[in-house]
Amino acid sequence: MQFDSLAFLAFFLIIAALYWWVPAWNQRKNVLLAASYVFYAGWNPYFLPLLVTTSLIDWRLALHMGSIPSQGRRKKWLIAICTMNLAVLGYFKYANFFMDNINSLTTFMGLPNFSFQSSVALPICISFYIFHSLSYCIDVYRVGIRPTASWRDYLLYVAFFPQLVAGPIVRWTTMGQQIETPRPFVADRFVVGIALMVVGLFQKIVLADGIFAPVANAQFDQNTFDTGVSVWMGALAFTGQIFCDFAGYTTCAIGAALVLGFRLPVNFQSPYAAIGFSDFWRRWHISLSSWLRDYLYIPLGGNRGSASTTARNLVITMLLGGLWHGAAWTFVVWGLLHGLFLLLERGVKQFADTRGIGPSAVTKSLGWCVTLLAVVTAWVFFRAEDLGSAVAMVTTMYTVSSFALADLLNIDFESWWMLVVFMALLGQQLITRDRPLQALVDNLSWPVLGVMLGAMLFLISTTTGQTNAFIYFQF
Amino acid sequence: MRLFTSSSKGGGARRGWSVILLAAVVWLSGVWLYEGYLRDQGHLPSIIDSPQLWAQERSRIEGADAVVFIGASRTLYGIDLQTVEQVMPASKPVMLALNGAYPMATLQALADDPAFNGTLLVDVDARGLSESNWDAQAAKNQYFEHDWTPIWAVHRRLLNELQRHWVFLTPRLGLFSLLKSAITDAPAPFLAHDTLSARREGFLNFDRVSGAGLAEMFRVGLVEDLALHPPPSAAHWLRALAPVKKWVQKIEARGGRVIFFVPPVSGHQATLAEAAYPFAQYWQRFITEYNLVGWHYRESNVFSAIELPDQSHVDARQKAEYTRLLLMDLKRRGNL
Repeated sequence: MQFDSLAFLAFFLIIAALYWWVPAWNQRKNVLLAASYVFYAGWNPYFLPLLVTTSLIDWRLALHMGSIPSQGRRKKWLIAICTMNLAVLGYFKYANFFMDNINSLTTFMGLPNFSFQSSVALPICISFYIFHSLSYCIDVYRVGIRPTASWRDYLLYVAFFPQLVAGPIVRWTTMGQQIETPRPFVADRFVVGIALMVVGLFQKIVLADGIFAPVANAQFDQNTFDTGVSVWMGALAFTGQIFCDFAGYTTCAIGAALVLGFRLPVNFQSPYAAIGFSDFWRRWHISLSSWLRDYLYIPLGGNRGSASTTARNLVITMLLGGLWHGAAWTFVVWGLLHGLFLLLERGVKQFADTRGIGPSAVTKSLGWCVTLLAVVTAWVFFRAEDLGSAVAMVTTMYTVSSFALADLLNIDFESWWMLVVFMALLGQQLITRDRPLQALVDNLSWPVLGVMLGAMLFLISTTTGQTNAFIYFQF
Repeated sequence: MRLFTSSSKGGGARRGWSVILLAAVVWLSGVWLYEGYLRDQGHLPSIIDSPQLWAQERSRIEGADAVVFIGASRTLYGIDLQTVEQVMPASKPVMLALNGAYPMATLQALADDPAFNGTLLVDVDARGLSESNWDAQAAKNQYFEHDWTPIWAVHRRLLNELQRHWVFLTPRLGLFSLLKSAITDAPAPFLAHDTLSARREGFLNFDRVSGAGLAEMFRVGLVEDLALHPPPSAAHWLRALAPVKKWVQKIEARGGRVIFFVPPVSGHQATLAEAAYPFAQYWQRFITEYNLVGWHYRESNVFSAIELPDQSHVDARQKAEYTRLLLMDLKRRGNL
């Protein structure tokens, strides 16, 4: 069920009304758990047992692990839990990719008959709920959080429908207390939740699908990438699309949770205003980057070792982060590029420190431009159909001879309009760089907020295109 | 991890409900004005066709009573489902014809569906039977196979109710299209002469459009398409149709029926089609050599009183009669 569908609207109205109408907290949680499973089954009911079973097994194993006093034995249980979860993720998400590559390799080696066939269907949002479970089990082992004795609470933590399919990836340390104690009805919070849902739908329907996607699709779906202007238009359009699509989903998720009395973590904070790549990853998909930092980068050794060890840890973390997004070489290269960007940034910072070059308006502006250019370039790999297309597009983007004034003059209305909105998006992110959306919404007077939401609803209503799935649902 | 919290500076519930009320007033006022503007321009509400609407109807096919119409625009806008129910009282008609797309992919999908054992009326001419046109409806069938879920059925049902009443929900009449025509020299959105019902019955109103203008547009389109896709030799064309016989046999083996038919065209549409795919060398041989049930307008004179304003389609006011004449003639010949 997509947030931008009428089915979700009807579903959410019914669930929210039922949830607040039921008096007892336990009953409310039952309503939410049942609703979450209905929400998930809306895509493919056959994968619901997988979600329920893996969640129940993780809950039981974590409960057992938490009761073991010996650190050594606890570690063995943790390894078993991680192996099981990663095996499930590996099988469903990467089996086809693995087999395809084995087949390519054997064909390359001249063994044409040595061909594996694999057609494993990908359960939606498996990467998200496996990461939820892993963070819980690792926290039980490492931080020593008390594992919940309630299987229902744990299932609700994993499957809570606002964040189930595309995050934010929530930790038990964030959600546990909220699930265990009754959520009071706070009218103001309820209204902010609705406001956020409207803002999220505006980002998705009007900006991502209505303005950015047509230009991005027109460029990425073609086979020739010979004019620099049109390739840049496609790259910029996808840069806008992926932000508005994913941030739109997250904003809807945070809003829906808030309507139900839950607070989810902020997942985006003006990422295109980032100065430097580490800054970008503190602003983009914050719940994933902090997950990778806490459960992968730091356990690998983080930046505690030599420069080469730190470099290795960074590249491994970002490469696996790329692979988490999808089983394709384009995602691997995208992750690898970001790993290299982070390494480069460390080198530049060390150089600047040794030369006594401190932050200034000039270095900050330069840093912002370079970061944005690199991020836009890397998005090409994320979106392209294959590596060949991505390389061809990036080559065109940075080849002077592929630019002609006539191409610039022949840009169509849709691309100009996209460019204006993209610039407005950048301007907004630069202005509100360090102010979260919540502060912006809270600081508006009620007439301004009311008119703004009404205008957004009007634009949503009159931007009636094809309903497109949220990009991050595939992960 | 920073949580999203609300820290309103006061006002509480009163402020909250005021925001919602004001937003609703602004939204509904805007929509009401926009709707009024579109209606003043002459636009009418209509259900808008989509993969979901097609899949909704596809999912209604059930049992031996199902009478399924597949084809392109002539069937979509020509067949009246209520008349089908009157002429064939026990039938459950379903409209799967698609504007601008030949139906071979749907014929194959229904042949491969072990549950389908109804009556299938396939509107396809010799050009549509050419192999290059077989995939024209493949995307719709793939959508139904892989993406159609009960949740989308709920969505589509709700959307049908809204589109039935509101013009502004027509995608091509979105604010962006209007802005584009106001800012650039792009033409304003055209006044459509077609509407669709939730059952995917199409209606054409030729009072809203020039039939002669449309006929000329179709002629140019057909000439261009024939130049782009020249007709294969009759022998090659016929050989390539061998799988079609197997699809028909699969349906017949389950107790179903398949009837191929070519609805009437006139003027340039008829002469150009005959020049490219002569009736005797193509269509007639397809029906006789593969031993199929076929009906061609050239073999019948029942439509002499029916007018085709654009040389291809029938006006909504005549579609009931058009449907009755077609079905009665098929019955008279023992095909139905």
